[in-house]
Amino acid sequence: MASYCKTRAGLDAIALGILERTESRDYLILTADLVLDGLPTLPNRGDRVRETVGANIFIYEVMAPGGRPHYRYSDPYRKTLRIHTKHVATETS
Amino acid sequence: MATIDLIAEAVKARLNDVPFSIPFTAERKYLPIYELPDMATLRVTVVPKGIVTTGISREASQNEYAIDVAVQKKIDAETTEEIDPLTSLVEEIADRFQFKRLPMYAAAAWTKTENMPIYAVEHLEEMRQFTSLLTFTFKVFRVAQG
Repeated sequence: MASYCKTRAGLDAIALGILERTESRDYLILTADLVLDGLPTLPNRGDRVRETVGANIFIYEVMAPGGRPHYRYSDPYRKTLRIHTKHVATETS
Repeated sequence: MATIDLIAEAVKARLNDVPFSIPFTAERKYLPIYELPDMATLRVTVVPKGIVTTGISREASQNEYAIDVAVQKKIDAETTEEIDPLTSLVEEIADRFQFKRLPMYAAAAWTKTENMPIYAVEHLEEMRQFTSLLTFTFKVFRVAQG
């Protein structure tokens, strides 16, 4: 069971006058729930979360925000993962 | 139209007249703003950057027009297989202007190309996106107006 805890829009400007907007979203997921092919796993850069809202599927990709790791534990006991993502695509189902 | 816009338009036309190893359609923009999902498609954006004018006689000036060309694409992995073709494309774009005049604005002669950054590390890390910036400088001699 995953929940998202924070969404923010960012405007990333590079020093050349090209501006880029991003929508960042952090997902909280129980570490024990992240199981792929029967094996407990950890998020990798490039992994994708597909979130269905009505007829749209919003796709978020795991990425590191500003030089930090792409995920971290959000409690002292490593029970919950906070996974950093950015919106990369929207599909229509 | 201002000279720098004419030059930027001529750069765009030169980019679009013969296909490159990776197809794209260059656009000229004053305010290039993109969203990350837009970058699934290769984006090449032409933006006027600056002008340096130097007097060379009582009535004439040498004008150096800087034009930025940004090459941007969202990638799936930071692998050489995926990024090498993009850096090659940047080199192809640079070569197209080197030692040449712009066909659509022949008064402008190429003088310099800068490729900084070759790729933006922070964009690779934070957005998994390839971003490279070429800055072309073209020289135009002008007679004093007005």
